[in-house]
Amino acid sequence: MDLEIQNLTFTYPTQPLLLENITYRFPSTGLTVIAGQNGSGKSTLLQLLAGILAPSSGKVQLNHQDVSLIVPAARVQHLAYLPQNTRHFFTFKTGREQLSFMLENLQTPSDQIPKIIHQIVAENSLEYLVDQPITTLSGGELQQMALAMIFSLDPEYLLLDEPFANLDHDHQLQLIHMLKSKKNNTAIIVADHQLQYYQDFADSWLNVTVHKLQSFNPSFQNSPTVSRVTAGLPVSISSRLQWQKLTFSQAGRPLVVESTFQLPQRMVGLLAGKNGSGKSTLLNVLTKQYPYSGQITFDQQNEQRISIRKWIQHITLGFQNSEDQFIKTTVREELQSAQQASYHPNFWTNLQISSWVQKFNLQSIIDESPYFISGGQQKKVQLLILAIISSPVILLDEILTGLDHASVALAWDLIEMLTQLGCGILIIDHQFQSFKHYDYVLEIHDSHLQLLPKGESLNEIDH
Amino acid sequence: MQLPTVNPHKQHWTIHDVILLSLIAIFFGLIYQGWNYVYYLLAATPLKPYANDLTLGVWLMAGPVSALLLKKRNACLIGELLAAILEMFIFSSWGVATIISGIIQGLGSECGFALTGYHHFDNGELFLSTITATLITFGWDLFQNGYLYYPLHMLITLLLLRFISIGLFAGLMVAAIKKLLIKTKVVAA
Amino acid sequence: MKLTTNPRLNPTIAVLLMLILGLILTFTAKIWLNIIVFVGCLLYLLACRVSFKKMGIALLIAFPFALGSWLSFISFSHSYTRAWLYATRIYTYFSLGALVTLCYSLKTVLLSLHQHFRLSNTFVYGILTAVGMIQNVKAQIKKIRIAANMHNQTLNWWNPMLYLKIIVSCLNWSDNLAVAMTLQGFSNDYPRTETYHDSISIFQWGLLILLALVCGGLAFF
Repeated sequence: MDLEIQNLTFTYPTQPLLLENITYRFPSTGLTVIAGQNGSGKSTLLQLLAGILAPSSGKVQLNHQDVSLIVPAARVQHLAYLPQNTRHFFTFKTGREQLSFMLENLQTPSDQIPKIIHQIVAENSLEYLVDQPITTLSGGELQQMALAMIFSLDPEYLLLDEPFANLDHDHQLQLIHMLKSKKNNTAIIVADHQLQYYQDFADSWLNVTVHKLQSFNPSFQNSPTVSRVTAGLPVSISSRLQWQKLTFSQAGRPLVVESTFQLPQRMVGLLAGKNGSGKSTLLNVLTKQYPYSGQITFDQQNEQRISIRKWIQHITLGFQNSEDQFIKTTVREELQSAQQASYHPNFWTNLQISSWVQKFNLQSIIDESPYFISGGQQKKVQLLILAIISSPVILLDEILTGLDHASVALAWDLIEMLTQLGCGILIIDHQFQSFKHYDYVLEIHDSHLQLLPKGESLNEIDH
Repeated sequence: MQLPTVNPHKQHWTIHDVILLSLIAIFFGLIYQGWNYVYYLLAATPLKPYANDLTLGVWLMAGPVSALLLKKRNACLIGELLAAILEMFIFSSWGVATIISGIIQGLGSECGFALTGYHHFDNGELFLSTITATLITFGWDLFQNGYLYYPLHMLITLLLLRFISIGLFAGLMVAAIKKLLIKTKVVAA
Repeated sequence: MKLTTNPRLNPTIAVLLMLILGLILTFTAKIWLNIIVFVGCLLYLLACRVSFKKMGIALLIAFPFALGSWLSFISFSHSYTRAWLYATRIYTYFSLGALVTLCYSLKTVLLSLHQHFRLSNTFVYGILTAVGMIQNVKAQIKKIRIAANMHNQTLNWWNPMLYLKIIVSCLNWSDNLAVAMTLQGFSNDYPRTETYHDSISIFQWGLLILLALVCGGLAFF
């Protein structure tokens, strides 16, 4: 069964050209890696191959048929695709119900369904996950289950979008092993910007650059990721946000137990921890979105006695999903509204704002809808909104992941400037991915939130 | 071997449409929970019919919003019916009256769009749908809630209040939402 | 899933009974019939061993509405008969709704309607998927409000921007969820294995028709 694209061109409505006149025929076995920067169109290409998107012009064909017209139940048995966001891959309360739904769609006889589910669960060691409520599972656990479901379809073509992204080290190794054994009789096509996972077993490398698909030879520099803490907190610090004996849990599972900490002002901290350890939940706790026990205070005032509206003016949060940040209809309005709410209106003059708009290269989209600009632009606008508001405490939930190097460097300048304005900043970042230096490192490990001393390694990286 | 194919031109309700309208119904239901308590307090007094008609428009928003998003025949009716089913199961209020009123309200708003043959889903049609919704739901309440037995001057007041409420929420408010949707390009003009 | 507590009626029959009796009672003016249907429903719910707590809560919730109706007819229509008619009707509607909501899960009802009335799988699984998102919906509403609070603003329920934010979330989620279902082989109206089965005995159909006829007869003659 062949998978090929002919003269494929694709543009999202109201956006510039993304892919132009691409023709390619995928090999029937082996591993193909599609690389490219964020926003280059590699995920889009995968979605076109999977028949989820239809080309603006040209064809994507499986078995010489238009792939988007093949009945899904038949298609997925030959060509299966796993999207990046596996949170929404699950539409039922448990993994078992989800597996059953998939097997019913494939018209598996009902008496065989429990047997097949049992087999999939056993082969993938999912015993502890399959009956848990989906809402209580971490991104990594969901990824594991979704991968097991997709692999169980045993298709000729397997399309995976950043399959390693949420997995911890052990499961990354398992997946590498799985891909190596599968690729002998299956065509595996992955889209990823982290190429090192595929270093020793990829069969072909493709790159999406300037609307085209080209093969290339990747170069792997031997620069190990920073994993050691390079700084510790000085003895005396000024602090406004503090918590005592803070405890919170999810579905009966304790995430953080009895943590006491004073968040330093004028510093940038890293909040680290494995997937599902409760990093995002901590930020939700600190912004009145999640129940806890213990005490949280700002300037000695108890959080429980302050209205949400007042509290949120002291402590702002950069959401993981940038679109959640926007409350206006254009980028310009967003920035103006932030300026009106700014803690440092004398600093954030119109001139200052427009100079940052220029630096971030946002001037061309300043009058656009914030919902219809690229993901990278959304993150920059989001960061700029929070910087302009410049509240005393700023919490950022992975909002820098996926930005290119130049933008990350600019983001760092912006954040340094905020510390000079007196802000205390806490950032969730994957393994020092965005910034190489933080003033201090907090890690959630085994339900404990601890301040790591200088020279210590992060537990989230297993060696 | 040829794989089975779907008919791309078949116009029907997709899983996407159903999830979208159901999600909107749940969101709206949760937003109105606070509103619900206000109504609840008023509903225990003789002013209940006035409270009922003044707040009715809020419950009718899901229908026209569904129509504007999907621009499909029956979107209003199905959006409102889905909202009623979910209201009954999740928020467990009003019993069977929820479903029956949901259908009547959906039909009422749908008529406005149907009268113009579903050619446009613009402000004119929206206005028309507030009128049809007011008349049809009022006609139904003559029986279901015994409005038939209220004095005439009270009926006129109630009808007026109902039209104001529906016009305000299922009309002007929906038009304002539509304007924002178009300005942010979430919905094509 | 809400576990069913020994229900005797088939879910589809219960839905039909609820709708048919509900409609009949809308167009009649007999207080005693309201009371008979209400008592009948209560006895049935007791026989089904629905928890007293659930029933008690349902009856309490209905009280302000019934009281409001009663008071308004006393005040504006000056008739005790009508006051009692519409007050009891509210309780009857409630008890009819309880025949379905307190006895079956939404999933069972939808699957049963799919089997007996060809309710499309698109609706069955679309509705269930959305219901599964309730916790996310609650969290999202908080996020939307907080996003505005950061700008020292409040998005109240009468602010159109709140609805724009809601609709954007709904569009994103429904895109993702619908794609996910397709990727797991689901397509609108394509045959799939049916694992849910219930059967409606001739007795149950007969009972439905009988109850409808008796209720209709008592209501209109």
